[in-house]
Amino acid sequence: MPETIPVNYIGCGFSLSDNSASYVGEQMRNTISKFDRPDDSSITLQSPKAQVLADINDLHYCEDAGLRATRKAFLEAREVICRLPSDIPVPEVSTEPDGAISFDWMPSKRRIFSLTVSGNRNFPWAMLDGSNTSRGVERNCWYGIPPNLLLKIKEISPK
Amino acid sequence: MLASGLPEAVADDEPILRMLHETSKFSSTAPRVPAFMPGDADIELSTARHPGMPPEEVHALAEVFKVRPVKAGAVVLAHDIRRIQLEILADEEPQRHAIIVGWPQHADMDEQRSIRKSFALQLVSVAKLIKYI
Repeated sequence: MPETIPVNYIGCGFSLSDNSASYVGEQMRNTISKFDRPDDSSITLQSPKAQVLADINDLHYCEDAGLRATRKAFLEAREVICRLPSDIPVPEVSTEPDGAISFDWMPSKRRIFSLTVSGNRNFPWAMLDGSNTSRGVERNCWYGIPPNLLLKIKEISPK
Repeated sequence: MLASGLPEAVADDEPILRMLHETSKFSSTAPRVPAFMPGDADIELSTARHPGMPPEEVHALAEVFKVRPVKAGAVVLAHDIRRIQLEILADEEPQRHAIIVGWPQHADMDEQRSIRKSFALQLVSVAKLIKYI
């Protein structure tokens, strides 16, 4: 029977001290890759999510040329990823100038959905689909990305 | 004519380089949206006029700009910036420095970020990534 990695282990509700961050991030990656085999279907499905959680850890704990994600953004970003439905592709993550975390879905250069997680439960977002742009702010998002935005992400994602 | 020898007006077909100092600002193939996001309080985004400079000249330019080492660059044409109702202006000294201005401001910071993001992703969609590391 394949061994499963509890969601708590791969990032949700995980508590780290600053100096242990790089080490733990590395260990997480090693552990994840160890279990990421094509025959372990349940783990394979979780692996991209686990990778993004490790990337989010890096944005907060490992300084990237002087820029670091804030703790508020880091905690919310982790939660948002954990709540992301399995049929939604995981985003690429990066830090914005004020320490907020940008979630970018970019299946091609003309199809982009970007959303900011800053720790205030509001999600400013913008989308490019061909030549059409749209944007908005979703407020009081206590349960992750709201369904209307998940639908937009699905729209631009490869089928 | 400016001290750099470049004309004061930035021509539509001039390549404009946004220096990327953080590895999270680009993937293996493209810059990410925050590459073109100014800070909340900022009304301009710093760039360099970039007529196909080799990497060593870009690194030297980063030293002149007194910024951190450049890991990659996102290049767009001045026309791409103007097409979305932003403007690019020469801003020497330092030489070759230019700024993207016209970023919308809003009393609600989340609204402002959403508007600016919609501009940034249009620039990302046409930007070419050049890696220097």
